[in-house]
Amino acid sequence: MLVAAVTSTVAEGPPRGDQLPEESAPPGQTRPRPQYDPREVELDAAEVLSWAPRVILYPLHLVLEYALRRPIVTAITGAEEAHLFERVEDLVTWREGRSAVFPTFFADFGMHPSVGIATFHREFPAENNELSGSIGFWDDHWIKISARNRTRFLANESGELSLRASFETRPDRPFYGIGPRTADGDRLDYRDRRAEGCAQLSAQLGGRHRISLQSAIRNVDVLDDRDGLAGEYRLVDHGLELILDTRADDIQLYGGTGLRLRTFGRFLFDPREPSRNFARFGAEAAVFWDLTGRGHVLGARVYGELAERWSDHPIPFTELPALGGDVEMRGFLERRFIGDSVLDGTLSYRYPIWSLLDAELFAGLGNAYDEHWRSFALKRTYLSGGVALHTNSTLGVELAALFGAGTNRLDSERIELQSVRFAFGLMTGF
Amino acid sequence: MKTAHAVLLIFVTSAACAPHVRRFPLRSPLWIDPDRNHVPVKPKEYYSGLIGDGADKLFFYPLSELATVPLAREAINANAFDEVANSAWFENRLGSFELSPADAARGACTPADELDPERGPWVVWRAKPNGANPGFFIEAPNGKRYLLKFDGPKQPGRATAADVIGSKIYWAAGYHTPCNQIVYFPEDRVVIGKGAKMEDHLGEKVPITAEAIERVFEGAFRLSDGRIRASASLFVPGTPLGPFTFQGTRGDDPNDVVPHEHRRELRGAYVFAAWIDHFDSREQNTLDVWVEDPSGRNYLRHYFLDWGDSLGGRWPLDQVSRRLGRSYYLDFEHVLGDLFTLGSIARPWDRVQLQERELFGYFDLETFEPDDYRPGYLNPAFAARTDRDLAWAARILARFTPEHVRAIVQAAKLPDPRDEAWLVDQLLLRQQKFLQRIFSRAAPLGRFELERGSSLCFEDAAQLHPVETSTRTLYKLRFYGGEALDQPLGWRQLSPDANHPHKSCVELPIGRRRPAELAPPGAADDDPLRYGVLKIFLQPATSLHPVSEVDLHLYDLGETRGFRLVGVDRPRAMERSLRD
Repeated sequence: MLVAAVTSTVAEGPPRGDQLPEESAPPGQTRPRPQYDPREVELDAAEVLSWAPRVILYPLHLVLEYALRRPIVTAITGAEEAHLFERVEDLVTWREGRSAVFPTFFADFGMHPSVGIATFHREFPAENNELSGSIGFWDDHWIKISARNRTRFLANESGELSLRASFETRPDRPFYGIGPRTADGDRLDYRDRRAEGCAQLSAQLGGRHRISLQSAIRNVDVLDDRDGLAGEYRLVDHGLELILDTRADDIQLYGGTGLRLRTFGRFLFDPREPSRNFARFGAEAAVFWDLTGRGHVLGARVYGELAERWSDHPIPFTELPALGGDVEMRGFLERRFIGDSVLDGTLSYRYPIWSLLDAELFAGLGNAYDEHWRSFALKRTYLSGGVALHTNSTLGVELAALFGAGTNRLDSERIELQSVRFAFGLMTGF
Repeated sequence: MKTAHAVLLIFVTSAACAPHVRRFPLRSPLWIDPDRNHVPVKPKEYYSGLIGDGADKLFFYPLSELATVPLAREAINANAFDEVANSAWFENRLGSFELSPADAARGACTPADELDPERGPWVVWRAKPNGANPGFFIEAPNGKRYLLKFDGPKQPGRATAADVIGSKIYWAAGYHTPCNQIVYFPEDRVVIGKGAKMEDHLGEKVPITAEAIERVFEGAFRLSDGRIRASASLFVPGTPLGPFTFQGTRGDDPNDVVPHEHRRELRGAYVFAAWIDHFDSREQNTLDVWVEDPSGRNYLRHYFLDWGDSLGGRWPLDQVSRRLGRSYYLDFEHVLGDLFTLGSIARPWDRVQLQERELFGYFDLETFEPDDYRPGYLNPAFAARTDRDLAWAARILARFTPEHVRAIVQAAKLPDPRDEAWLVDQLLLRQQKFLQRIFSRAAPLGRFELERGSSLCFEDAAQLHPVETSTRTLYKLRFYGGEALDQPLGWRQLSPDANHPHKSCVELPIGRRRPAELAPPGAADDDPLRYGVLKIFLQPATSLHPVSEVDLHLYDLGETRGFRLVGVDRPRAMERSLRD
C-alpha cells in the first residue's frame, strides 16, 4: 500500500481568466517562438522525402506566387478598396439593376466570331414592359443589330406581346447543298443581308403550356455571284405554335420529368406577289426524365419539319427547313442540312455541375430530305454528338460552351468524322 | 552520388522505422503564451476585400500552395498537454473550467454592457445603409458604442439570432468576441447625430438622412407592437486595424510568430463553424484590435465577429443556398468531379430539404458532414486541420451541455418559442453527430489531473453525451518505464463509473513496480529512468479493439512526492500489440 504523499502535486492547468504574461522580448523586437512542444523535433519520413519535389517545383511556386498570385490579388484588392467594382456596376447598371448594358461575344470555329454589347431595361417604361437590344459585329461585313419590346398582360402576366426588329449581314453563311446527300467538303460561304420585323402574341395556358401567334416581315438579300444562290426576296411570315409541356412549373429551369410536344405551322408569302407562297410545318416530341428531381435530366427528342409548296415558285434555300447550329444536330454548323424536309432525333443528358452551370451530353441522328421525307432511311442519316456547358439562370443571358462532332452519312463506305465544332460565348436569348 | 543515395535511404528508413519515444522535459507546460510584448509602433491597418480574398482562396492560393508540396503537419502552438495556452488569440474557458449556462449566455457581455431599449436616445454617428448587412453605429446613454444590425425580409429573426448565438458559442469555447445582444426598440429611439455620416456604396461619406434610416428599418423584423429587432454589437476596446488572415503572419506585429494556418485554435474553429453552419468563416469576419493596456503595453488582440450567416442563412438563388456549408462558392473539386462522373456522385445539396422551421433554411442534420464542412471559400487554417486539432475542439464542444445550449439560444430572444425549441434540439443533434464522428477515431480523453501525486483523473468527453453502451467503454492502461520505455511496469483495465461516467480516476502506479525503482538511489528528478509512459487505450463497447490511444508522460519523483505529469501525446498510429 502506498503512503499518501505529504505534499500534493496537481497537474497544472491554464489559469482562469486573462492574465498579461511576462514580456519575452524587448519592445518592438520579434519575439522568439516559444517551445510549445518542448520535445525534440520529430523527423518525419514523408517530410524528408518531400524536399526533392519541393526543390524541383520551387521555381514554379515562385512564378505562381510572385508573378501571378500576389500581383493579381493585390490588384483586385486595390480595385475593391477603391470601390472600382461598384463604379463599374454603376456604369453598366442603373435603375437598381433593372437596366444594364453588358458585353457579348460568341465564337463558333468555322465561322467569324462576334463581339458586341447588349442592353435590357426591365419594367420600362411601364412595370409590365421590357425593352432590350443588342449589337454584334466582327468587321464591317458582319454586323447584327436587334431590338425587342415585350409587354406582359393578362392575369399573372401570362400573356405577352413581343415586337422585334433586326438587321443582320454576314459574309460567312455556310451552304453545303440541298437534300440528303451533302458533305462538309462541299461547303461554300455566301454573304447575305436580312432585315426583319416581327410581332408575336403568346399566352400561357397553364403550367408550361403555351400558344403563340406570330407575324413577321423580312427582306433577305443573298449577295453572291454564284448562280442559284444570289437573289433578293421579301416575305410575310404568319405562324402559329402550340407547346404542351407537362413538366412542373415550379422546378428549376431545365429540370423536371414530363413530356413536351410542340407543333407549328407557318404560312409565308411574298407581299409583292402573293402567289409566291409556301408553308412550313413542324413538330417536336420530347420526353424528359429527371433522375434525381434536381436537374439530372435524360431527354429523348424527335423533331421534324417540312416545307409545303403551294405554288410553282421555288422556295428560297434560305427559307428551307434546316438542321445544324444551336438546337438540332449541334455537332455541325448552322444550316448544315437543308432540304424540303428535315428529321432529327436526339438523346441528351443534362446535369448540374455547379450552382449556376450545367453540363450536357448529347447524341443524335438527322438529315435533310426531299419532299415529305421521301428519301428517309435511318442509314441515310448523319451522327452528331458532343458535350456542352450552359449557365442555368433565368436572366435571359447565357454563357455556353460546346464541343461537338459529326460524322459522314451512315451508309458511307467508312464512317468518319466530318465535322468538329467548338463554340463558346455569352449570348442573349434574343 | 550512389553513396549519397544510400545514406539518404538509410537515414530516411531509420527515421521511419525506429521505435523512439520523444520525452518531455520535467517542467510545466506553457499555459500563458507570451505574445503580448509591448509593440511601440502601431501596425498598419489591413484591408481585406471579399472579391480579392475569395479569388485568392478559391484559385490562386491553392495553386501556389500545391507547388510547395504541402504535407499535413500538427499545429505548432499545441503545448505539452496537447492544449492551447491563453494568448491574444484564445482564453481557456469552457474547455478547462466550469461555466454556468448563465455565464455562457452572457458571453463577452458584462451587466454594464447591456443596451437598455427603454433609455434613449441612441445617437447614430455612422451608418452603412447599403449592402448585404446594413447597420448603424450608435452611441447609447451609457456612453458605449454599438453596431446595430438588422434582419432582412427573408428569414426574419435568423441573422440577428445567429449573430448573438455565434458570439456566445465562440466566447464560451475560448475565442475573443464582442458582446452581442438582441434588442427590441421603438423606431423613435434612434436619432441622427449632428454631423453623422454614412458610407454610400462607393465608399463616399455623405450625411445620413432619415430616408436612409427608414430604408433600413423597412427590411427589419418588427414585433406586432412596432418595435424593431436588432442585434447590438458592443465595440471592443481598442483601435480596430482590420481583420487577421487565416494564413501566414502579420509582418508588422512582432508578437505574431506562428503562421496562422498552424495555430491550433484557428484550426479548431472549424468545429464551431461547422456546428452552427457559419459558412462565412473568412478573414473579413475577424478583427485585429490594437490594445493600449493600462500597464503601458500595446499589442494586438484577435477577435472573431459576425455570425449573421449562420444557422441556415439563405441566398436569393436556391441552388446556391443548398450548397452553402457543403461546397465552396466555386468548388473545383466538386465541379470537376460532377463533370467527369456525369453527376452520378450523390451530393448532399441534392438531398437537403428545407427544415420544418423554415426560418433556419437548410440547417439540417441529415446532410451535415462533420468531416467535410466547407465555408464559402477555402479557409487555410480549416484546411490544415488534423485529427488532433479536431479532437481538441471536440473536447470543448462536448462540454456544451443542453443547458448551455438552451441558455445561449434563449439569449437570442427568438419571437417564436417553437423556433427556439427546434433550434436547441437541432444544435444538440448536430453536436452529437460531430462528437460521435470525431471520437470514433480520436481519443476523447482530456483534463488530466494528478491529485496527491498518485491519483490520476481524466475526463472522457464522449461520456458527457452518453449513448446507451457508454458505460461498457473499456479503458486499457499500460505503464512502461526503463531506458527505452519498453519495460512493462503494469497494466489495468477499467470502465467508467455509472455515477460519474465522464470522470475516471486510477491510482498510480498501476502495477507492482514504478519507474523510480528503476532509477539509482538519489537520482535527479529528471533522471531518464524516473520517466514513465502510461498508455491509455480506449475501446468502445461497439468495437472488438481499441480505437484510440493517449499517452501520458510522467516523472516518478518517488513514493513521497509522487508522479508529475509532464506531457500528453496522442499517437497517430496505435501500438500494434494492443490493436491485433
